[in-house]
Amino acid sequence: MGRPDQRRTAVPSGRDRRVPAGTTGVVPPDRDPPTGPGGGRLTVAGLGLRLPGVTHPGHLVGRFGGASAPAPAVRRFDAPGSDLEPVERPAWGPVEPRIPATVAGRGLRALPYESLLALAAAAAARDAMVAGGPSGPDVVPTRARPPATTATAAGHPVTVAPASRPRPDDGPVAVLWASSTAGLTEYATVCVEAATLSPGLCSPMLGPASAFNGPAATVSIRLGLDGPNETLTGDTTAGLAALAEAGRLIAEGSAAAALVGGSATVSRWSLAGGAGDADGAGCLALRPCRDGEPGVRLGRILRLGLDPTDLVTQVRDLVRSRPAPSTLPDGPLVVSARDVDLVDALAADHARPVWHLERVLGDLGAAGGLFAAICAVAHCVHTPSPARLLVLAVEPCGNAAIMEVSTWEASTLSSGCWADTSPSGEVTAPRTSTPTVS
Amino acid sequence: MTQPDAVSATALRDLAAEIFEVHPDDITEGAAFYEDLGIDSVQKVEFVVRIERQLGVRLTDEEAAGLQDFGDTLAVLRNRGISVGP
Amino acid sequence: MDRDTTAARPAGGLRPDVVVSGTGVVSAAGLGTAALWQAVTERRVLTRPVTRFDLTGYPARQGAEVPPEAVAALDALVPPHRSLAARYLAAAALEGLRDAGLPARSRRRRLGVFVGTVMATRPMLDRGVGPGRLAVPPDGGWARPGDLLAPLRAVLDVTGPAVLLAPGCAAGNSAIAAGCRALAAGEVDVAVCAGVSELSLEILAMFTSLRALAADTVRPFDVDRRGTIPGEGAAVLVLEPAERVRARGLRPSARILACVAAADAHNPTRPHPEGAGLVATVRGCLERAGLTGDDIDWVSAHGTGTPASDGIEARAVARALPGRRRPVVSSVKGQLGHAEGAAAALEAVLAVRAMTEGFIPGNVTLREPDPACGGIDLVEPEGRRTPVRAVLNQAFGFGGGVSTVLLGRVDDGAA
Repeated sequence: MGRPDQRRTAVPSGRDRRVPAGTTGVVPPDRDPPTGPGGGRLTVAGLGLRLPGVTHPGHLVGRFGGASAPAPAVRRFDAPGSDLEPVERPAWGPVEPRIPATVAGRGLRALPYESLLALAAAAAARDAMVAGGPSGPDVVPTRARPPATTATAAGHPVTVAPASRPRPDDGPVAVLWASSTAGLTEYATVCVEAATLSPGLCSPMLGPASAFNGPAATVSIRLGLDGPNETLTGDTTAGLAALAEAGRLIAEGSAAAALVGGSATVSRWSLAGGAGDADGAGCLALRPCRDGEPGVRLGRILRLGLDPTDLVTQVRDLVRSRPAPSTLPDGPLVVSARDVDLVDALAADHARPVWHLERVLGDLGAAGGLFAAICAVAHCVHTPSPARLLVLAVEPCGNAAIMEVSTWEASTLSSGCWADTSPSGEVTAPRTSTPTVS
Repeated sequence: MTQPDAVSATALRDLAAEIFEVHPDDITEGAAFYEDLGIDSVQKVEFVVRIERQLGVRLTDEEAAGLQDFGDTLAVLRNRGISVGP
Repeated sequence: MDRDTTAARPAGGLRPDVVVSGTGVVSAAGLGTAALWQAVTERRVLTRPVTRFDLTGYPARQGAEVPPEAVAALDALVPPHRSLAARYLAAAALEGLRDAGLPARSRRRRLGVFVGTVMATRPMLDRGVGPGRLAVPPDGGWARPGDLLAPLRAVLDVTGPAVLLAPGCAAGNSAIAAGCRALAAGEVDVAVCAGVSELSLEILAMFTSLRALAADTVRPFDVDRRGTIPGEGAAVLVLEPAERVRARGLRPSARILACVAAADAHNPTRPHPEGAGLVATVRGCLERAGLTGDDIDWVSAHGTGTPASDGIEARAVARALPGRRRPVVSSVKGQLGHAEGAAAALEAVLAVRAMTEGFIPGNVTLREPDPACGGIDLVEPEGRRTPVRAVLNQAFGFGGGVSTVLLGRVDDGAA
């Protein structure tokens, strides 16, 4: 719907570039429609991660390897002014936002913690996408909060993507973000202040930050991204739905690239609602893939509403019916679901290993599906041989989504250095066939 | 809330600096909030609410809208009978 | 990424032809699309003193609440739930499907649900606001936005995706756009697109602190506009490919000609001073539909009645829709208040009605147009009886997200 009929012509600079005057209906050579049967296959051009204890996609892969996943620390949570008692309980986090130096510093102090995490992950992914290109390694330094005192916070080289990188004049960049916790603490705090202060004395800054769209808005405003801006919420499928919507926006020409992220923050409020026990943010920079270009590709996403009375059988059938035969070996099945019995049934059933996101990273709410996709991308980046794996998100109500992630290689590539050594977790995902693992 | 009859300009300046994310020295009496300090309307209203909370005064919409700089702020408080010390 | 057949579609038009096959509404006018249209055309102002919360001490105490008798009537339609928004949504969806001639229950079709919201179930927490403390409601549903769909799932079978969009106050249009994309990609046969919102004490408290509430009446584009008033409700548009509707022997009520989104990328609470995102979406809609400014019979404005925003919107619309005449603009928020997550969807339903009835709702509360809005043709309070072939429905909100939907009359071959 709303297709521009691929009529994007010479793109003028400035704010109105996405609606050029005098459109003629010609497709310029450098804006070929995306290839692939989906009409919108995406390649991962950058990854930003802010997860506790994860500074490297390899760490993420290692966490799922066996019993080595560290238990979350016991943290204390309270909700002053309400009748919720303070609690001490295990929860994943906290994680240092580490805002990249490419993001201007003023105005960050008032941002909610989740928006800061989101901004950091998105800026890292954006920087990695921009750094990708034939011009050599770029440095993406990070600015720690509080200021860094050791060399470990300094920048490390980030990779070189062998193929074309997006230029600023390529077109708008969409931002799609999945979260069920963004703004929750702010919303609850306004309610507390409404109960405890006179009318009109609630903090004016909290209100606008009390909706779900703080992360997406912050990323758009701070990074100057004027493409479509969407926030998806609900439960774990939202993260995969964000990827599906991004693919469509790019396919219809509404965006040239997209930052698709997810975030979660644990609080006394999320714990009271049984709605999340982990902190973290992650973001994928995506753009259309081109023929023959190596890298990590996102395949089609199937979204559907299963019958909740027959969930295990239907999910099993769904996994078995995916993907079409391929020469690539199967990687793990990455599952985001709260239902442990469902995941156990899949593990018992399936030939390949099952990575259960919530077991290793905690309950990230609506961001879960997105983090599952990120884990799959990390597997592709980290594994020396080409890989193909499935990402699955299932909610108890029957809402489900499944996506294929695969390594795509051009036969002409041999060695190369793709770096996933950045201390801040940035990586550009295009890889070659003989990566060096640091 | 009982209304204090005195307030320190330094304390008010520090409050504004914290909300506006600028150095207190930048908040001169004549530096325009929007044009010179580059804040937005929500930051200004936040400043107003924090003053209201701390001093127990309530500014009218007209008074709040009329605050263009730190000097205006001090003048409004003096008009309310609050003595502004250093 | 989808079963997308874009490449096979002819250029120059939208395929498939996405139409509105049914609508459903819960609003300050009560239950039903007809009740809303009647209130709007009778020029009733539905903002009044809030009864659901104790607003003693608040300087502005108005809201546009779904009336208590309509809330009570929900009991016969949808299951109980602590989120009123969730019940509004389920009731509106049932009406929309009935209007479209579709059964609520079927697992043989691919039906997707696309719901725009600002706060989802969070207003359940407001009920614990009492003197001196917040008594947190026990079941925690206020922290689980997905619960917004629980009553809807109890009354209809969702076999396709269920997508909750929370992009700020453009939410209703975002939901329509996502449903259109799903239809265009062949992902669903039926897209239930909705916007929903529940009056929230948190929002009243926020706007009170921001000094952005009107104490008496919302007056969009008026020289004396003083702010907005929150509202609530739900609106549903059932979207399907045109041929699917005609195969049932029904006549679609409107077409969706284009959906375009953008971001101001400017400020968390203020629109871009030139309305950059809005201008881009309006131009994008015209371009995609192959229309010009003169083809637009009505601009259903965002028009919240706040001093800064309405002026920016008026100038942006005038700039984005040049033509032989000034763009014809009105905002129904003078009557309905600002229903936030539901607003754009309610306005889209009114756009459909405006085309089928040949009537443009007026700016009912407008007394003296702001000279700064001189570039647009503000519809007089009594409205205009005239053929309506194309309507731009625009929405934006905190965070800078902008989403505009262009709707067209079905019998019109121009697009």
